[in-house]
Amino acid sequence: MNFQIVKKAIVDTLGAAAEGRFTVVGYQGQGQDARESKDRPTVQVFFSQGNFPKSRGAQYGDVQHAMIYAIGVTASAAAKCNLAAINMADALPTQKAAALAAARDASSIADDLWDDTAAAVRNILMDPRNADLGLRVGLVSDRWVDAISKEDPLPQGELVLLNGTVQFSCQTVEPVGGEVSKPAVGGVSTVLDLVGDNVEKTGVTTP
Amino acid sequence: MNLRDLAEQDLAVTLEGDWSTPVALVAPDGAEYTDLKGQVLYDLVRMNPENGERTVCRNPIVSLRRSSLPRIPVAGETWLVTLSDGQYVISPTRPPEGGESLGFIRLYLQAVEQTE
Repeated sequence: MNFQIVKKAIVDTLGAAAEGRFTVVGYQGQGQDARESKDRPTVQVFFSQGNFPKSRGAQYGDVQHAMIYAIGVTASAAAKCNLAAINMADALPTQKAAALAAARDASSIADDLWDDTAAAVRNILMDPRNADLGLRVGLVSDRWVDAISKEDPLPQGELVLLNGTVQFSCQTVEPVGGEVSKPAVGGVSTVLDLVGDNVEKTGVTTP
Repeated sequence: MNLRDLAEQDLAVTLEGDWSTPVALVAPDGAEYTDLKGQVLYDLVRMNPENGERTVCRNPIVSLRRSSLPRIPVAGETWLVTLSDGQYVISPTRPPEGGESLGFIRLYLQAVEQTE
């Protein structure tokens, strides 16, 4: 179906524009190592929901498909500190104290990293040049970043992990092709054969 | 000697014995405490309570004998901790645990990198 093609197009569009800033994967992982998203956040494209409004389709034939994709953004970071100043053999206690006082919290770094990534994802998807997500004109329409949500920073061992979601919606038209190479079991009977009907004898073939 | 005192003395073996790791601390005032020994534990799997996702974490936790420390770290202070595998700061989100009951303190560590 087209929602699968659109998902791949979202992955490809984000991946082509990432330029090393984040890693794009086309599924939602069951679990991950916090170190995977350190310094380079992970962006997971996940088809979340699809609606087929009954008023926007025919009983037979193509139907409108309103799709929602949950694009998960995960960033993790370590604290930062002027270690060189502390590790100098002849460093004075005042220099070490100053370096420690200026240390930057991992939560703050992860927060900035996450915000930058979410902003980049939105800007890439809403860029006018990506209106068709690289697909043929008309396959996908009405694309929109509906919402950005971020969870609380979560200390994960030696790193701080930050999760959140960029919700992206768009529309396509889904043709109904049927399942190829799978003929209907038993076929479709159009013969009306009422049990015990001796009057009409509808559909009864007499010898 | 009561049992509590005996347990504290046992820390010389259980925390600072053959299984121990060298630990060095730099206090917030810049004072450096080297030649310390402690137990270090790593790795655990944590569950994100918000989405249920499991994350494998390298989670260094170092336990030190309080009586070996010239100064005890308290919550909110930034200490630099040097272990044999790298340098860390005490996690600002998880205060040191352990207290005085059995004479040791447990420090939750956060990775630290050189600023650009």
